[in-house]
Amino acid sequence: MRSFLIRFLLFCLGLVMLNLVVSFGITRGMLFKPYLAVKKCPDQPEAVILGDSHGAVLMQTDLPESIFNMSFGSDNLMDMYLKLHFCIRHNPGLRAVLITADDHIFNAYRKSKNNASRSVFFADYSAYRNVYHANPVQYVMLRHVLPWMPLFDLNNAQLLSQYARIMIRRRLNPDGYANAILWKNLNPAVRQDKARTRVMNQFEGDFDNGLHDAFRKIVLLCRQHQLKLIGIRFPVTEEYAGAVPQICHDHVNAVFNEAGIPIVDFQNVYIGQPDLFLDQDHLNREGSRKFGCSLENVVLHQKMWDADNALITVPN
Amino acid sequence: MLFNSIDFALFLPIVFILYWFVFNRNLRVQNALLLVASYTFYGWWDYRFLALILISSVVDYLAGMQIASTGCPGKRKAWLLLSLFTNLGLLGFFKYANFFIDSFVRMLTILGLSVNQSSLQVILPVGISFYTFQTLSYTIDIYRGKIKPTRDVVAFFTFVAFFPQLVAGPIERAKSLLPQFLNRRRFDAAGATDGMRQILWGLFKKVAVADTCARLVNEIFANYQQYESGDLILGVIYFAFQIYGDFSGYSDIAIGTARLFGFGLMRNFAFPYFSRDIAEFWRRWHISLSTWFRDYVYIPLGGSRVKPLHHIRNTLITFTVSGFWHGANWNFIFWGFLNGLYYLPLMLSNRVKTHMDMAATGKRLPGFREWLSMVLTFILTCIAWIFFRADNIRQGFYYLLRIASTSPFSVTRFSRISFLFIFILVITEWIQRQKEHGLQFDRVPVAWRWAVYYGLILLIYFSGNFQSKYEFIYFQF
Repeated sequence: MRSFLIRFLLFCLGLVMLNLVVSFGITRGMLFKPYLAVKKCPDQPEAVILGDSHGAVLMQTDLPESIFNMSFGSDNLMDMYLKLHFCIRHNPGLRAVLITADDHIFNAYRKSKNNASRSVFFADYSAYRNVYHANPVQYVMLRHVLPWMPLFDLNNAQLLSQYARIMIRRRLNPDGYANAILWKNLNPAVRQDKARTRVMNQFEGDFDNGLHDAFRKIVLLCRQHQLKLIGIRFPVTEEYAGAVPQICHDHVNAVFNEAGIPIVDFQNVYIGQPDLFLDQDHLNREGSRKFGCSLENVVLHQKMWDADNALITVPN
Repeated sequence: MLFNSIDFALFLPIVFILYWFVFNRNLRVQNALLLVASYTFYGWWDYRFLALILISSVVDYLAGMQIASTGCPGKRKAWLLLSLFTNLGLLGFFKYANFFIDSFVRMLTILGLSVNQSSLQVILPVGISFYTFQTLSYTIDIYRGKIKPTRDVVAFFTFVAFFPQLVAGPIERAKSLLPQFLNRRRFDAAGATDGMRQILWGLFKKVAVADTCARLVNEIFANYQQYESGDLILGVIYFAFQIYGDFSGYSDIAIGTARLFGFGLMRNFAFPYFSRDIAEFWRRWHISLSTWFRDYVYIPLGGSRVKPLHHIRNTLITFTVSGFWHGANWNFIFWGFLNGLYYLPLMLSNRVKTHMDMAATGKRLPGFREWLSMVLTFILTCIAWIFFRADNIRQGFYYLLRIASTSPFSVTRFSRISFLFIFILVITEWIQRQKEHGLQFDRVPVAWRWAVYYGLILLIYFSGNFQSKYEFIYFQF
């Protein structure tokens, strides 16, 4: 028994080492670093962007200093609520919050497939429990153990396997891989197909009550701290915009309208410019640079802080 | 509780520690712990159905005692019938009631009579076919005088509900498993280590191979009218490996888990896809069920020591009943019957026992003839699997028809990852074909062995099928 247990413990130790290698080699950079980086929020930005992956592609260097991008990955409104708390605590000079008004933000998909384990970095236990109903053990595991032991977090399995596949393909054919995945190089049928698949995945299920509650809490929190809340609908490709169900689009407009929150709609600004996109609904580096300028022009220079318009559609 | 779940990953070490470190002084207490653990394991799925296990256990315990204690043949038979009636009655009600109602109504409709059909809303209790057969063998063997009944209630109840093999086998015989509950168990470090390897290999087969194939199988079989021959053939090959990975994976985990507690369970799969004919396949596939049907159906019918026509009848009945055991549907019955038909030519030409050893024994690779026999056997098996997987017998025939009538060169559902996992499975098992399972190696240096373990863990992890919606296929039987 003794020798069996010793061998078993040694084997477990090996697993821990393997986890640490994966953590330092891959996951801290890929999954956690951006979350940890935004904790080093610069002093006194006037506005923060709370978005999901659509907002995350917007590089901080493409934005004016007064706007800080706090978007990441697949954050949903519940994560954004936790982040907003964090922001308010650390930036007393905050004046405005630019929140995503993309068409899928209230769909149930957003609740079940997001990085809830990551927004734990912005919340103490009581705040996290209020949103995710986690017990203390879960909180400690998510915040202090799993970042070091990524292989024990089963939610990472698909992300890591995708990462491994991309790495292998890149290594085998560096130039071919880069060209093959460029959105502008895909033929129209493939683009349509990819956009349709994406929409099918992102808009599955009904609208979720929890996400509506989180939105209401964000609105309330902004009112309590006299912050101007502005919805931003991020630019997407023609194929994606065409595939989004109208009912979702209208629903988001109605919820924002009911809460008195204006939406600045950039959805169609880059229609017909596939060279600005990484895929069907994410800007690439060049797209980020252009969109950063647009955002600055529309939101800062036109004093959106004081706008009362319910929906401002930015023309193509 | 599923073997491939976090719940089980926590449950197993807790029971292991209590078993060897807290309750190791007293055999009865150890058995009681296993009984509680087994009921917890089963109750995790639906505690209400524990009542069925309890009924089976109580009836068979009493029947076994009474059959052995009375000398009156009439009373012995009455107790045996009570056991048969209770166990088969429960099985019949929960598993076959709707099938018989539906078939009866359909028959009346064919005869031109109109009937208002109302199916019963019956949930099939997980594992009922497995533990029912296990307890039945206990009373039948006592009746036949092959074993003596046990007076130890806890040991007997634990024998019926032993959690590693409760829900999907191997279907153990009282003769081999029950004495293990009655004798003191000692921790065998080498056996436990090999048990852990077998669990790992079973998890690889289930999570990486079976669940990866399952996605494609479900897609192809659900929309078979839209696919051409190439994809349909791929669909059957995927299913052949899905069901093998799923079921033999479960058996490996069950056997490995039992070894951690000092128990030896019977081997259930012996690399069946390396078989060179159907007879050999059935000696290597689901061994515990095949031998059960041999001992309790085929031999009582007269086995092979009867006239040739009766021999054919006995063989076809055994295979057909075996198909019916798998599911209350005509496609399972046809699957069993088809395997019986495959078996007949071998039986009639006295070649059932041609291949008693493993393929390519003493060689690294099979000869051309052996290789051809293996491929042909695999093809025959795959044809039968179509009926096993199809929703009904008609779909099975249409699926076959589409394979025959469309282009075999149109392949859209080829999955490199599935074939990678299948390749790893086949190569490993071929190399290890003389062993009990794919990871049974002792003379390999420690560093290599551990590299294989970690590699497999990563493959299982990266397959991304944890907490998957695909339960073990054999749970439905």
